[in-house]
Amino acid sequence: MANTDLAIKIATTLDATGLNKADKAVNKFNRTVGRLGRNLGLALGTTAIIAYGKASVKAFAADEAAAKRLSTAVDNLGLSLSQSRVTSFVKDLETSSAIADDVLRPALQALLTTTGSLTKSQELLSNAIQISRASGIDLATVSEDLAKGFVGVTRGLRKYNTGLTQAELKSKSFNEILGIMLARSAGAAEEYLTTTSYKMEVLALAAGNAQETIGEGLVDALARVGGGTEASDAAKSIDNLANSTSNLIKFLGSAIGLVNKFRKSYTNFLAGGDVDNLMAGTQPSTNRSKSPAGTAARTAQQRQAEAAAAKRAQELAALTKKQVASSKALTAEQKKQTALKKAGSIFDLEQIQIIAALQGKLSKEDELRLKAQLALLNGNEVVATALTKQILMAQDQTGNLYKLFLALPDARNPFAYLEGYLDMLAGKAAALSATQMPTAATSSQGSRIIVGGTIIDLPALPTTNVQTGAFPRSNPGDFRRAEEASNMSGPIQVTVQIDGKAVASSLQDSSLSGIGSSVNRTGR
Amino acid sequence: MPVKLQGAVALRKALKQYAPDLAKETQKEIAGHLRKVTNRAKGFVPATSPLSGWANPVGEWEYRAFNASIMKKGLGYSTTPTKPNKRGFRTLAQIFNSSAPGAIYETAGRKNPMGLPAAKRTIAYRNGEYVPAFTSGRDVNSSANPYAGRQFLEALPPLIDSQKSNSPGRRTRKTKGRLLFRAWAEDQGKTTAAVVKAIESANNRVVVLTKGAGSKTFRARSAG
Repeated sequence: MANTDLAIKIATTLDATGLNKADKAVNKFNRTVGRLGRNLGLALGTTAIIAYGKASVKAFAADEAAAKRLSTAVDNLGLSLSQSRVTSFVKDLETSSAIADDVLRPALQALLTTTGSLTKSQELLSNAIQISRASGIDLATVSEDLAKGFVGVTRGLRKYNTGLTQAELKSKSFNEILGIMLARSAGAAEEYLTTTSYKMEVLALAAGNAQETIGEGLVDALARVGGGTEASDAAKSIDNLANSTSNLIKFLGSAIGLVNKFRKSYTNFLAGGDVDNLMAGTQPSTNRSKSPAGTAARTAQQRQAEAAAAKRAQELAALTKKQVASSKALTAEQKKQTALKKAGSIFDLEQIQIIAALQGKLSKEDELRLKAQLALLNGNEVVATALTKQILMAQDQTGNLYKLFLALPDARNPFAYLEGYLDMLAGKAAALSATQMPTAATSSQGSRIIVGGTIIDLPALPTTNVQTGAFPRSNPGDFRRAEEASNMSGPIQVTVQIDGKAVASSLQDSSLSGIGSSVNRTGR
Repeated sequence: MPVKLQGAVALRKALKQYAPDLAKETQKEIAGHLRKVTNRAKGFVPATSPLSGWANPVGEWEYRAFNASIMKKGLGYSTTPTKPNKRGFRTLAQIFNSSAPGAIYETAGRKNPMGLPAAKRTIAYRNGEYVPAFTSGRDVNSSANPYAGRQFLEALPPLIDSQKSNSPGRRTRKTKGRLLFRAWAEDQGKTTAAVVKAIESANNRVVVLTKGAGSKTFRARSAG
């Protein structure tokens, strides 16, 4: 029939078949979903365990790598005999401060590399923990900033709100700044131990350490399953097992329980001995010698390193001091130069302003004032006095103001004491000239002077071909007479040579150089 | 309103299984009753278009233009049960009017007895400027003749309601028409009774044939 709504339905019936089917289908779907949920839960649980296993292996590998990095850094600093001390220090600090060893190790490594001293690094790391607790900044950043500050780069210490300006941070020594920082953060580390956050961190730390321990066991066991001994072999084994085994949960469950048993039996098989004995034989060396000689060597090595570090610190301090001194001297010189420049500019400006003002249209009185000020600036006392009189007379025709000005007492002369001193010197000079003034007699052969009754012959002056009176005098008449005399006795020839050549030849050579300014300078 | 039957599906299955001939016979009997109604409806189809313009199959009216033969062919019946609707009901027997011109003739004036209202003047924004325009859409008469709808309805015979005042069920505009619904109104329920009786008779015969193996669960009732 055609599909139309325009129809009259005569008889209908309820066919619940479809509805029943739908109902059954829904119920079945619900059951399926339930099973799926359970299956998913199982799968997710398996996934979670696998993920935890992987994370454990990774955590152990990262911890091991960090420990090796620190160990290498200590070796490179010549403190190889102090490895056990470093390890125990990190372990103790981890326990007391609830900071994971994988955070402490890089921090200590940074400080060790910078300072070169184990003692100083341990001290700075403790300080860094205190500052970190007080400021809330992570330990790695604080350690890095302290390490930089130790070598004089104090820029990073601004963020700790020390209250010091940038200039003060630059001028103060690192120890001074550190003292201020420690004073401001005093007690923060101890108070933090009472907080819930600290307790949570202790739990997290314990979980992390447990994960690393489990990871170590897994690496040891699964690496052997993978045919190797490294963590990468263990991770590969986990991946392979996870991908290939559908019931990995069973494997992990049994593997964790049997790992010690498996390792023991497998090691026994390989080594042919008891695994406990073998494990005891492979205990990591503490580098501690049992003999007194070993202790002495370690102590000597440490002393040597400390001495080198102290020497370097002294050099740094001296360098910093020198830099500060030179900086201060430079600043003072700059200030002086600036003041002089300013004074000079002001003086010049005053003169320039006065002269500029005199160019314009001014009233007579203003003109007199400016001229008087200019005379005062130039030190012309006569003109200044005359102009001052004119100004005062212009202001008061009766002359009373000028009289008052004249009646004013003189300002106290700051150099009055010099007057007596100069008089005394003049008297002594007069007495000396009266008693020992030398007399001189001039002849064509030379001069002879008598000083204190002793006759001294002076060498004769060199003779020239220039006639006496040929040089111009201050009187124009003398110059003219000299010229006439020269004309009577012939011209005076003066030859000037440059590098053995006459001036004309020299200029000609220069013109040949092609330089525009030198061309045609001889006028030929 | 249709009569609701219980157990009709089971009856149909039983008929096919135990009395296939009876099943066919029952279908034929029902079809005979329905054919009478549709034939009566076909008799109401006019020979010519009530308005000459409707008979012109031009443009979008190509398949809607008046055509008596198409209208008569569109009037039919079915005794094949339909697929269940979303509420699970299946129609066992029905008569229908499936052609486009037949539907127009059947239902014109149901919603708007005076024809669609004429399009109104308005202002439209076209090509960046406001221009005078007329409202458009399915709810307005877009003809140039504002009375086209009313004149069309006036040319048609009146709508006949198939539901009487004492009939069960609601009386709505959807029970009114000029062909099928008019024939159904004139039938006065006789066809319904005959169909139900035929089905009930078939059920009784199945019970007899199976010697009471199946219970007499068939029951007809009118929908309230």
